[in-house]
Amino acid sequence: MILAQQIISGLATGSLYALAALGLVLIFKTSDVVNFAQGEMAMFGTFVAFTLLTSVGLPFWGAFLLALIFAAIFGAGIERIVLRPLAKAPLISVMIATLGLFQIINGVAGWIWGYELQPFPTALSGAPITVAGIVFTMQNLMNIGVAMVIMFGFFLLFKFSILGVAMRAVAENRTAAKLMGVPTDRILALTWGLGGILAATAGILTAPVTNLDINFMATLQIKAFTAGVLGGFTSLPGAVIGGLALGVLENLVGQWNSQLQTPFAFGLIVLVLVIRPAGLLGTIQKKKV
Amino acid sequence: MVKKLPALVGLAVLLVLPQVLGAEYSWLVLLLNRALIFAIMAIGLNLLTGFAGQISIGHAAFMAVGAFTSYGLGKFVGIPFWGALPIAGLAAGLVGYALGFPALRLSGHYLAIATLGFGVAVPQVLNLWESLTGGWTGVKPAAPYLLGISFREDRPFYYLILIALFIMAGLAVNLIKSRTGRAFIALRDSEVAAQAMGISLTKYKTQAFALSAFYAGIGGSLYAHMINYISPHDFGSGISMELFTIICLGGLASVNGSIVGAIFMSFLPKLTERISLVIQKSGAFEHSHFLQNVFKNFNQVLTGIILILVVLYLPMGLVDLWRKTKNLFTAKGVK
Repeated sequence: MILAQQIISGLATGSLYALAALGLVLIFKTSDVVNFAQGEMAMFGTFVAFTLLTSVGLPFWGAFLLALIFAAIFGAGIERIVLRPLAKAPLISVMIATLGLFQIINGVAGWIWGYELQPFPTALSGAPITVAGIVFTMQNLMNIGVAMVIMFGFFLLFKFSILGVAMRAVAENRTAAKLMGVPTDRILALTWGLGGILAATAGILTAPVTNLDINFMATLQIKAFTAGVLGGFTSLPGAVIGGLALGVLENLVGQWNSQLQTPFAFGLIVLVLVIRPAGLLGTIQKKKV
Repeated sequence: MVKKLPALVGLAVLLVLPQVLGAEYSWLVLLLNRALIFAIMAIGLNLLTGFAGQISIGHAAFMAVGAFTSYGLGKFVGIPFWGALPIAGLAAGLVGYALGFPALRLSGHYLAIATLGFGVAVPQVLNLWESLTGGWTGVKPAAPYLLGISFREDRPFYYLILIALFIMAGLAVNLIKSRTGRAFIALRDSEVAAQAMGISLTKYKTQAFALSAFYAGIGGSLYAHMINYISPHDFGSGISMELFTIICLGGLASVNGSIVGAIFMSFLPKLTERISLVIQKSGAFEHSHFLQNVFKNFNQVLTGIILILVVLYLPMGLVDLWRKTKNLFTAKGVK
């Protein structure tokens, strides 16, 4: 029973990892950029939601929705202003640019919202529900629920909509997609917007647990990277599976020694990568010489 | 001789600088010490990233290994700093060598993320090892002592660091021109092509990691005995990111660039702090919380902006600025 309980809590944390990892992998897959600023984009979006909730006084879901719209515009704007001029730059330059973005977004958030830890309200409050001896807290239920809805909507979009097809085409082969009349630039901006939405969702769901300050996404972001690598950085289902698996495994390890959670996560990356260098579901593109 | 003039002038400035600065500028010497230690580590990271093409954003972990090895040897084994310094480098190098093996199968983004994880995990593991590292409380490494001279003060320590930097930079410059250095560059440019020419991937990649970690270990040991207070959490991902930023900003695959970048990154925060203090004294922003925050914390955003601008307009780093200005005045610049 304790085991089942731990697995449920692990799935709740894991679904946040999965959301954050999904955003990372989506952006990587279509635009070939590992976005180190993803966590800060999430943080900024969460602060926007926080302002809408406390200063403007909107209801939770209203603030949530507006913050997601903001995150989408923010993400697309970053792609347009910083990443597009770097389209032909080498891998390492783009990585440095996203590290620069990290510094800028983090610093500006500090200017606007200060440096104190703030409590972040949660949408659902109420007594935990007990089913068959397993306790479901409202926060856990909400994390799993919202993550599932978003991921499912995302799956539908990616699989069946014309936009999804275009995104997959750009991810597969940008030049070919362009020749087929896909507006690749616009698709890339849209991808970044979607990545921003996924990140902000993860942020808003995390904030009630960790409380809010400008560095609150740091830990989650490293976990999202781990989840992404675990699942294979090129696979969207991989990111989800990686996130959930990491959440559950980490919770089980934490039961034994909570300080070993992060070293464990790292050990897991190394182990998986040594056995399968491309992660669980990823594929490695072989370079032609 | 004329070619080497800038280097000689730079060296002369570095030699006399602490003597010229008055007592009220002692903080500057401390800052300079930090900058030069970071320069040593940046050279090491540049060997790995700039020359061998392997990204590491967890380098502070090697620095931590060096720092605590050096402290532990002095405290529990009784080896003085002079003996502990090279051993600290070797210990970090050994860890780097070990990390080189899983890194063999990884490249690009995967390696970046794996080293990021390594950098986060090592301080946490060290934190658990309280008998050596003191956990959250930290420990106090003693100042080095030789022939009646105590290196507790910043100025004597400065010369110690300068000598170390000189040796390590010379080592790097020579290494790059050797068989090993050329193998690194060949692997960076194309692993397949290099292997086809008989360069062993395993041998040189693990060597690059070991060598780079050795530099970080030396830097960590120097840092520990200069600051005289270290805890595992001083070696977090912030330091790793700073090192990575230094080499990208200064110039990848450039020893000079590593030094320029380290000095730049160490002085930038202090400079913006000074400027903002002057502006704040005028009391211009007392009414606005936002503007106060802006001036209190300008350097982080500025660093970010500089990084992006460098990537966009100076892909070869700040050292390239020198070449570009020089070309303005010589015929080379005329197209």
